[in-house]
Amino acid sequence: MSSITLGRYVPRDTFIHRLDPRVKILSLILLMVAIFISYSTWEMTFIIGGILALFIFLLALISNTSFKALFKSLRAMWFLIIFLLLVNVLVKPKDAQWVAFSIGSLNIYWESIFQSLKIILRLFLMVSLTMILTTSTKPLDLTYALEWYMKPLKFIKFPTHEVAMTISIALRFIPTLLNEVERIMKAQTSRGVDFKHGRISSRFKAIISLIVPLFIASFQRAEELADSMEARGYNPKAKRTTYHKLRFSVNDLFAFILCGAFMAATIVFTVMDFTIKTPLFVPWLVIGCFCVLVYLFGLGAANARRYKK
Amino acid sequence: MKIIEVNHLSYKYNEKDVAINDVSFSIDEGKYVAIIGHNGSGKSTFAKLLMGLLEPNENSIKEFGIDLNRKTVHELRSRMGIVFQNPDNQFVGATVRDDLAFGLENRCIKREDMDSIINEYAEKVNMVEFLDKEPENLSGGQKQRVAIAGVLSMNPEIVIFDEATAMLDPRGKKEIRETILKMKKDNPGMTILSITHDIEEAYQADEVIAFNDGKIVFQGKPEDVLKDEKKLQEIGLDIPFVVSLRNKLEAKGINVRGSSLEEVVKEL
Repeated sequence: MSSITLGRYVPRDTFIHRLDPRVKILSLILLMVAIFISYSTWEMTFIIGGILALFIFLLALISNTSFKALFKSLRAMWFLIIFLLLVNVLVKPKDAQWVAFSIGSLNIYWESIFQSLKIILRLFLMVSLTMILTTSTKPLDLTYALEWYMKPLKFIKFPTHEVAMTISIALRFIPTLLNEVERIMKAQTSRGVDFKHGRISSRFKAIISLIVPLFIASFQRAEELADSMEARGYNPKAKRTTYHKLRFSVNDLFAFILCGAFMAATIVFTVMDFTIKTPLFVPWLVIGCFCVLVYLFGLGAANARRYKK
Repeated sequence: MKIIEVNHLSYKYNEKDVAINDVSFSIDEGKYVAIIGHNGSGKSTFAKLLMGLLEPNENSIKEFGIDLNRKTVHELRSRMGIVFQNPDNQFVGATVRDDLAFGLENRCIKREDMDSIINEYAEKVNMVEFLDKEPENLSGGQKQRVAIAGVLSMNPEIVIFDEATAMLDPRGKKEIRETILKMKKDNPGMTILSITHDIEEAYQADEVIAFNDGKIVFQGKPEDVLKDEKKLQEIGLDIPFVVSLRNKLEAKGINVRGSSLEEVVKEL
């Protein structure tokens, strides 16, 4: 079950927890773009990647996301990482010439090592960002935010409300169904089914003895839930009011500007083909980082003062 | 005034499985009626028919003097509420607060008014401190209390309990029984239909209707109905020890009141 608890919502009261979920989703997308833009040289990639990594660690720090959980996600991806390393190392890049070492007649190039490191860094940053989002935002709030973003689709008769309701009910029933899985597993184990040992084929059979009752129970639940919702006057076609309101505050604007600036800066860097040798690159970078730090510091101070009141 | 009138109601799930077989009776406004019967006797089907969740045969059910059919079902439903058996499967919201809001949203209550209504009804079932808890952190009895609050917040004139205590532990059962009694005291005009196979709960009612094989076996005061042990056993109901004891004592000329074991012991 530990893989499911990874990235689960942790109720805290931090600056990031309080942000509007709509802004958080948009910022996630903006930062993802920044992460996935490629640069002309390795140095650039690692400088920008490093700055982004620092920023993301800062976000994790502010949102009180545990670093242990972030690195656990790396461990969960170990297979993917090894696979990427192998593929990148064994396939010779086109203009690779910088040999790191050789195993027999096989040359391993620095370029391919960098390439795989770059992909791993990107994956790690992406997963960390997503985890910060999910640990700092209630699933239900994410659903409301998604519903809000889907609003324009209403014009093409897309059932946005139904989709949001479906997602929120699915989220609500995840723990309930997990309990059920545990119960069925215990029940089947007591009848001699072995889920943990044995060959793959026998384990697969064991899983079937779990899935069939689970499905039947879920359908029963769904039917009862539908009855109860209908009895309480739910009618997806009819007009409903909403209890939740998403609030866009000044902090949200600041957070949005910051993430937007990050994305804009990375785009500017690639379009203008900045490298570390570009005149004035280093001073600009230092000034930029300084601005961001001052901005963050001001934001923190402003919120700290409001918090004391 | 007769608030529910049932006339020759029949319902079958398929050709072989007849759940309700030509049932007729009526219930007066403001009564607390217990419907008893063993599993599969048709009592839950009956509750769903009354709520319009299953479609009854034509002109067979009248509620508030209005015939229940496709056109009137939404209006009639809005004046009634039901609490089902499984505490988990009627919890729609992510937290207690959201769940209570769900019903209010359906009623198009203004957002500004919702918080006060939620607090008011959570208070009535003693769940205020749990308002921000998720369902997995609540006991079965607490979830059922939330369901009751959800129903009450709609100001229903009829409330149906469809074996609302069946899946609860003794403590949860007691909690719910007490909540129902309190609810009855607060709203004397409310009609309560409680479907149960908990005979002790049937004792609290003004009237008992017993179902067997889709038919009504008898209808009357709980004391009269529950005295007939043989008949109860015939329709597959367990008689709790206390009731049995009391009946035997009464046969010997000793009259004892009270429905719980403690009360009977005290009386003795």
